[in-house]
Amino acid sequence: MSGLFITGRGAINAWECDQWGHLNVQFYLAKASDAQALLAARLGLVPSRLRGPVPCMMPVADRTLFKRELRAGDIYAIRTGIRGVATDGTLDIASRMVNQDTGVESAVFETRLRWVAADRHTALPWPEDVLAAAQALAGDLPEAPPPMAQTAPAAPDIATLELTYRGSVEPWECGADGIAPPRAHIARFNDAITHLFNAMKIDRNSLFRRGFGSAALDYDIEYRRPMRSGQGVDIRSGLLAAGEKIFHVVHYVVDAVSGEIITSIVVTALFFDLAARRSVPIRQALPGEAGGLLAALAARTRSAA
Amino acid sequence: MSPDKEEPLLVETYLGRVSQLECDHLGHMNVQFYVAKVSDAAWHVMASIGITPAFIRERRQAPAAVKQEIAYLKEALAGDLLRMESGVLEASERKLTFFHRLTKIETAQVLMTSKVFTVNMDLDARRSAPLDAAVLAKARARLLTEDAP
Repeated sequence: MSGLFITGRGAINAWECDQWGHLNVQFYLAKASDAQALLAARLGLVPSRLRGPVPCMMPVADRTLFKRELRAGDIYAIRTGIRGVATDGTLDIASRMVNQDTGVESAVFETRLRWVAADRHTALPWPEDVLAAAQALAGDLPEAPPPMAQTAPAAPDIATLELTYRGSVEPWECGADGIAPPRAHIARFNDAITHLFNAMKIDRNSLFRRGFGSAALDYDIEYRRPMRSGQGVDIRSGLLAAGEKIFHVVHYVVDAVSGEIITSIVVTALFFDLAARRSVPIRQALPGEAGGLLAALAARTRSAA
Repeated sequence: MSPDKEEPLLVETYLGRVSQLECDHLGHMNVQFYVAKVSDAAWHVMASIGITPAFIRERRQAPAAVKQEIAYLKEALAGDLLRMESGVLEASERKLTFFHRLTKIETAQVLMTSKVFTVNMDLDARRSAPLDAAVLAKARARLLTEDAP
């Protein structure tokens, strides 16, 4: 694809992998964020222009498809291109992460970025030179994935959802501007799912001992407000739907004081056989009470919406 | 064996960004993270001579670092975009020496150069082992010349 250019290259470290033996989801997003910085430089937004209390690009929405596992020792490359740029200050980009050893595509990232003021929230129109560079770079890109089957309810009754995380945003998670990058959001969703599983009577250790793991296939993320260093945050979660193999979870990161939604994410996930590295039906991974709870929780989440 | 004419002797082995987390109280990237980026780059330069992730898993052998020389030439700040290029300096029956050069993309300044001396290791016996013949041949065919770095 002529519109894609190299924006990332590296290797998967053992400390980036989780108990399921593969690269944890938060590090896919971390590597995609770095790739976006390389793209920004192509548009004239080099690091020296972005330091200090000046406007910058912030992610507004992320769609991420996890297509193949990456394991410790794997090498990867990321290519990024521009789908479109709007004069009001948004930019739609596509990135593709490939296992460089096998040539297999491991992840798809479709991201909307917005040019914002130094407060990291107020939308601004693009600087003229950046707009012109983005228009010139827009090219032939791989097809975008179809919309996810489930969407996050826009105004949910948060209090009726499960409290699955409570904590605060640490300075070491943030950039120099005190804003948490996508990785920090994903790391919390990753913690939250364990507590949602607990609410569904799913013990991850028991699952592991029986030879099963869980994996995310698809993320649909909306960043509504910046998450800042020192901020107290909760996550409220629910199950949107459950089929034979696939289930959809929704999480909301909310400000612990104001209750405002900071981020929402819908996750498409499944259970898999840890030895065969293949998906299994939910009933096979969750015999007994847990399987039955899925449908009940999904109905409860829908009613909260 | 002659080197692939399409592939330069110095290959791009890392492309990324300095994280705030990697910076210390002097306001620049701490030395440990230069080495971390050399480590990431190492897997790519090894793959360029046939020591791919699949090779390491199947053959249960890989180069292990035994000595490293580093020249820190310029500092890197949070947000800086970095590129590493790497190649093979020396190759013998059990030993490979790799060269790495880290560049700041915005200014094209070289921030660091490093030589990493390795011994090929049997990952089960945890002892040195001869390099695979094809790997050694490719490494020798891709040795950096004096002007390449």
